[in-house]
Amino acid sequence: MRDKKPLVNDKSSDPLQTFSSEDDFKFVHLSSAIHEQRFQSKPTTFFKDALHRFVKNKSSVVAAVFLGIIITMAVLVPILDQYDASEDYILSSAAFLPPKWYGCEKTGFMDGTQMKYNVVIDPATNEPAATDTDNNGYDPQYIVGSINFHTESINVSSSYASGGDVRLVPNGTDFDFGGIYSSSFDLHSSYQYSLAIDLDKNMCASANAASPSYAVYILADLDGNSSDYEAVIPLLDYTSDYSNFSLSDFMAVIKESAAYKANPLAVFSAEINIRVKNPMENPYPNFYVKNVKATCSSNPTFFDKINFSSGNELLLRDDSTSSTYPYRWRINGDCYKFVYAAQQIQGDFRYDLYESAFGNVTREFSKTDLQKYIDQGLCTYDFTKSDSEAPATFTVLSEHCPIVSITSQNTVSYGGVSAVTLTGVLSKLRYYGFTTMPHFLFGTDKQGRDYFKYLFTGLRTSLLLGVFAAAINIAIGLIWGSISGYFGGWTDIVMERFTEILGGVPWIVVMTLVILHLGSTFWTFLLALSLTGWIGVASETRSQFYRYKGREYVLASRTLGANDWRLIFKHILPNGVGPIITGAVLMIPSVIFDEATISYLGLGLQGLQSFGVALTNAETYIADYPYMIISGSVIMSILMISFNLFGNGLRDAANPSLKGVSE
Amino acid sequence: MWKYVLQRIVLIFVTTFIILSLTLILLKLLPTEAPFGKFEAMYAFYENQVKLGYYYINNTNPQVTISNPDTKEIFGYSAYPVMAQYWRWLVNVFGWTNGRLNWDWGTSSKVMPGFTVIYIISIRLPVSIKLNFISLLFSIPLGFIFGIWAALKKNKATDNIISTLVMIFVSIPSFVFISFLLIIFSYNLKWLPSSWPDSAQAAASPSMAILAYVIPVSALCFGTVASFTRYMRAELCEVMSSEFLLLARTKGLTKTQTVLRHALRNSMVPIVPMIIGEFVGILGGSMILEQIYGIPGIGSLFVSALSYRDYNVIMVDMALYTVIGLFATLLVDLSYGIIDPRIRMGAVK
Repeated sequence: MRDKKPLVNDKSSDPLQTFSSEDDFKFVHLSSAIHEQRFQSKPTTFFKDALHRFVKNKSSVVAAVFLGIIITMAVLVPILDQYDASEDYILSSAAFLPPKWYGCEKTGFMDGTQMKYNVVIDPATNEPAATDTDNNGYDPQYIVGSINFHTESINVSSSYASGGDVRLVPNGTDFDFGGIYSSSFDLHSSYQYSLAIDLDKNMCASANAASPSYAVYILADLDGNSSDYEAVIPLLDYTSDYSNFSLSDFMAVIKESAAYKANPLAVFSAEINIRVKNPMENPYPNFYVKNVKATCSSNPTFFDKINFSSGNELLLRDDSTSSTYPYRWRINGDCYKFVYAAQQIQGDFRYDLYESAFGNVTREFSKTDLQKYIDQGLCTYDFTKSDSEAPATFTVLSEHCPIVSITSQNTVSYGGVSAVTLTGVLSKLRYYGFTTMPHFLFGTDKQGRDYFKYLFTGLRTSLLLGVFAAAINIAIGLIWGSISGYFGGWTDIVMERFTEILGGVPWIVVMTLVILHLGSTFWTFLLALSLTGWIGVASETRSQFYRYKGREYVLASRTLGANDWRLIFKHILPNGVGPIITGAVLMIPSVIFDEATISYLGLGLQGLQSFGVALTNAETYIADYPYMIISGSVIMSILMISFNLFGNGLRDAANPSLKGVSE
Repeated sequence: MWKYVLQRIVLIFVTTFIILSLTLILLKLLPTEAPFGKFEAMYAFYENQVKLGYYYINNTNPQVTISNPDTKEIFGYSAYPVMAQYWRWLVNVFGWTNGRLNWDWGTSSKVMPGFTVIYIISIRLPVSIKLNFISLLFSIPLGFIFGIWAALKKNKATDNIISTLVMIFVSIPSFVFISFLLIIFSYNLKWLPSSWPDSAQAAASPSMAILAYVIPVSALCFGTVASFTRYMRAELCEVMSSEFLLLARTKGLTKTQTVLRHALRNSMVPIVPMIIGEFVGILGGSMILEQIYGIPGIGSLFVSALSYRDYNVIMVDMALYTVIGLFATLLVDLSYGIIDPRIRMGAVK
């Protein structure tokens, strides 16, 4: 005999309640006949039953909540968000603003600020070199926190850089040298002149400098016709010794030369020439000069136009367009001159782009500007008062008045006509039509539109498209599938062949052809989606009909004389509609996906905002302004995950036998 | 069986033929997109159209006229009716001259002007196939490993984590993945190239050419790995709870032995056809990826042909996608029968 153990539940070890008395097994209806009575309890319908199962599936319920939130937002955001995000709205000064959320101020994350790296700093002020408030410049007052300075080597000349070498590269084929020569100066044979050239020894000797060989010459006009510099007097012959060249008196060398001896002038014009030997084949040498310093014994400032202390300085002289032409060192022979490793101070800082776009700025106004606002009733101002008293009479009447205050007034009278100029503080915020600082939750796009509103307006279109397409596809698919499945036989074979051929056309081909022919509008999209979209519903309906049409209750109804119409719509369809509806729900995300795909292919909806177009536009700026594509992608991901979970939950609820198949 | 295969193949050809005919007629109904600007290109285009038989020289009442800016000579052309053009197209493509198929699909007018479309496809197709093949190469083993792992740890933490990730990865489209990957690994960390290197860049640094595969392949992989995992887990779970496996255990086989020898082999039945289906799926799905990442495959070819309205290229690209899709469906159907002899496709009862 077995031990008598209490009955144990699977999960818990609590003993089950044993039956205590025979009362538990009493017949309820022993005394009355009940076969004539109606059921008192309400019969549960298929959908109630399905809902009951659906609610038990936690993840699907959560997904449904998320879906509900997103769909509600797609409906409400375009209505409630007051920012203008229409197609033709352009506010260029608000373009590409990063996201700014309420409550995120000064956190450095989604507070409308952005780190700006490697911004050129003006060493004189320690502020960004371009201080204007447009998109290229930075206004120091909008920098959040402090600037992190660092020095970078750059290879282009800049007015905010210093130092650096001149890099001379002779790489032509016409001359066997390449070099630079100075502007001309008058030499007196009785004076003493010194010349010192500092080379960047390490760079000249480095492997990729290709061992330059250099020489220093004086080019002199010794025949006195002041048109050419025919005398070429070497101060240093070609050498590869990169220790610094220095000559305490080069007039002595000139005097020793044969050219001078033939034509000894007391005063003559001359130029300094630095040459690098040109091998006329790759690799070409690179020659690095740090500075050139010449001095005159009688006149300390005599060579100021020629001396340079850095490569950056020398190249900057080239850019001066004024009468400072003589300051330049020009190219001689085959030569290119570059700056090498000029030092520039750059700064990294956090910049408040919203203040920059919408903050207050001091501006000058004309009388008509102000009069316009007075006429609109936004402010009052007394023009009759004197220049000193009038600014105090400025009063703002409305929060829409772009002018915050007037600081000064200046009247200029000439010939009986007086012109009034006013200086005041302009609120760019109000000027652009806002009353408070805007908070663009997803930032703004190229046209300065609120991407949050733009995205959800697009999502609304896409969802509408999905719902419409699902409705149309269900309608066609149900009818087609019902007929095909119910009648079977030849009808079924012919209809099946038709759907088989139509189903073989890739949807991308259908979409493309329809859009090429009819343009990409909402209705053509709908048409393209409905041309082949119903096939899935039809085949699902057909298989459901095959499943149910042979059942006994259908047969019973048929024997009672029910016609085809009644059998289809009253008996078979209601029983098989569960999976069909589920499939239809999952059609909405697939329509959104298809719409996004077709937008990426460049055939997106035109003249109408859609989710796909919003994503495609954001994708263009993924490198510089990733916040748009991030927010769009996150919404897309949540939407797709929610739809799939929701659809799975629906399917499991509608058809419990499929539960867990695709988890 | 063979009768069924033959039937299916015939049906595929019929379907392809109908689709291509409809596509061609619809494309021919659109206004002709000739190259514009340069006379030489326009002249060559229309002369080629005449040669192909879609246009005829008509100097009395032409639809299009082009004039040579040097000689001031004027050429007039008119198009044949669309159905006549359709017949010419049939002859050009499927016609039989000198003992061989004509197979003339025309030349490109905008994308690569002057080149035959077949040539353009032939240089673009290998890139796409390679990309898809590599991503399949990675996603099959990964999907199997995760699927088996999840099935063996069914209803444990591992399974829950894997199933949640599968749900996420299966839902998110690949073009969303590539955006995230680009932002993280290309633009922020700067580990990987942000677009496909052209042939010069690839020749300059072979390592970059290899690294360029990472982002598109992983973007393609996420979805396929997730769906393989999902199916593998479902199948294995079903097989694991079957009676023959219990029998194997009772006969004294270890769990590893039962899984490796009995469960895995039986769960392969629906997986192998799925691999074929997935290959076609990612071939279509890689279209946007190719466009975003600048990969010179047939997907980006289709996109550029669309934006330039180069109809011959569109036509052949569409034909390719259609044929691949149809044959893949056939392969999937047939593979069921080959892998599991119990399944007889097309059987009456």
